Amino acid sequence: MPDYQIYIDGQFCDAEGGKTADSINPATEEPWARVARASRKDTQRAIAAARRAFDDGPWPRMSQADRAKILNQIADGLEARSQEIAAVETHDSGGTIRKTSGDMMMGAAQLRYFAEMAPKLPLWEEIQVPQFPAQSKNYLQREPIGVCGQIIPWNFPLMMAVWKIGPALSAGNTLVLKPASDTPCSALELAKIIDQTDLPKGVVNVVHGSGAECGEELCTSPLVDKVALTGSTEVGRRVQQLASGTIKKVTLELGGKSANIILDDADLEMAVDGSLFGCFFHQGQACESGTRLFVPDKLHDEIVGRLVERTKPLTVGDPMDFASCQGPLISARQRETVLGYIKKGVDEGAKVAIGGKRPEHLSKGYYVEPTIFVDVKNSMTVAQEEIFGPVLCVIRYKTIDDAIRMANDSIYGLGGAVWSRDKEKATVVAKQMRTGTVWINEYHLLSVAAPFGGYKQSGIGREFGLEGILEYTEVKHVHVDQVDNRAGKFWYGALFGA
Amino acid sequence: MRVGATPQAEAVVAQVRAAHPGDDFVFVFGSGCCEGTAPHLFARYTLTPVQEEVGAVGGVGVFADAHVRRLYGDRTIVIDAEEDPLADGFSAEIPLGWRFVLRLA
Repeated sequence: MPDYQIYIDGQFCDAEGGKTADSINPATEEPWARVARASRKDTQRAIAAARRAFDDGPWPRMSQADRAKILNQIADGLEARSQEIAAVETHDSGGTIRKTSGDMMMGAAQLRYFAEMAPKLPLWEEIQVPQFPAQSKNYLQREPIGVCGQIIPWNFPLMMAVWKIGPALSAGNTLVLKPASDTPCSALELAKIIDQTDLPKGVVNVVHGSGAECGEELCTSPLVDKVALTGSTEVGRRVQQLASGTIKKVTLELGGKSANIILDDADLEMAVDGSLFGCFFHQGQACESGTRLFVPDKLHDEIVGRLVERTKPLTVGDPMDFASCQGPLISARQRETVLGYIKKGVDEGAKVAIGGKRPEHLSKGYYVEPTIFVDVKNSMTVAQEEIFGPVLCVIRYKTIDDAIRMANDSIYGLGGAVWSRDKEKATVVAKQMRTGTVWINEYHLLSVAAPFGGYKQSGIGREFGLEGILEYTEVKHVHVDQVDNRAGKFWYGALFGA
Repeated sequence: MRVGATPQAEAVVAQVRAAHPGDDFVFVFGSGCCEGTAPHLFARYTLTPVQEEVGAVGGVGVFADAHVRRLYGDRTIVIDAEEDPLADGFSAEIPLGWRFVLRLA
């Protein structure tokens, strides 16, 4: 069984007291790796290393071109080991090898984007201000915030690490990353890659431990300047409260219950497959999944028929097998949660059109069949709560306004889609959706160059794009006064008299 | 919604309170995402105006926001505790090797 150590100040090391935890393979329910389990004290060591690297190290003072070079070295390393780390992540997370292989390549491409953006960042730019009451030139300086605490979940372990590390490094910060307890191994593999690059020691630190110890330390330590979390809304609220003690900058990417609207002129063949991809990709364990499918009343039966037919061939099985479309959920706990929601849906009057239980052919592993609910009301639990499993809720609508109203009737606003042959009409609908990303005739296609984040209780701030990188910068206004004699200053009369 | 607790959950609450004498605790609920509706036991938590007390477990108030109250309606939920060395939330029982979970009565 492989052993993983935590990564602090450029050293791989054991956790305090030699504490470890086994990582469980969700497909076999067996331990597959042993991982050092960091304590609060280990986290404090990691934070101290990041602080030293920021205050005294070369990284924040390095040129953007040099930073880009190092980000590209990390991308090279990830590309070179992508197949191997994809397998690590499949063992750790249960994501199909098809998915994790794609994640590695996308992760490398995303690192290259952050490298490419580094020299293009507007770190010093002139702005125009009114030349009254004084003549002046004005500049904005953007600089790294400092030490960032970054907490990520278990659904896209490697990519989430890239989404946090990439922009933070692009802007010159140092950081402590806390991967999810269930899926620490690919982030620790990334640390091995980083260790082989020219990145100065202490800039990136990776600790594997609980939110209550490591996470809380990252949120409360006066040595940390910013906290970035991807996780649940309640944990987001907790992070914000803990971080408020030291007024940290906080960005949060939280839950969703995204609406996917099929208009009556949609290409149904495409819309049906796209909606299944939107909901069932990675067994529904994606925050932007399109879990509420709104369909026109008159097309309801036809769409449901097609959804069921296209779900039947989805193979659930060993995630290491390229033929598997669906792997297991992350844990027994998550499987029970999802099955509990399915029961709740049935109790509340929704009908299972397909799926709804554990697959009979798999005696081991945290699997749940892809499940479609029909006769769902938007007010039902299954339509309001984020299930985080392969459960699609089909909801009828009579008018487009109805669909938009129901789509927006959610505490969340993260993703969403509209399917139509008329892209202009779909755009009019997209504009009325209170959500951070809307795809038209597509789903899940996040671009590293476009901002991603949540409206309402789905989060604060954005990841990706220039906006996402600027979340890792402080802005300073520099005013250079152009009135060069004392008596000409606008304030001279106000204080010193005529 | 009504709230109950298993003896195991009551015992873990007592253990946490003994480990942090002087701290005020509350239970609140997750609202989905990677943690489902997991109960969280937090010290020094600032309640929001939408969170109302719906019960108590081991002398600790249980608060749910309007969204959660609406979802559970007249149901009774039961807070239980499981041993879990890999629990990842911010909840206070986790460093003691436990995790609170929600069950429907």
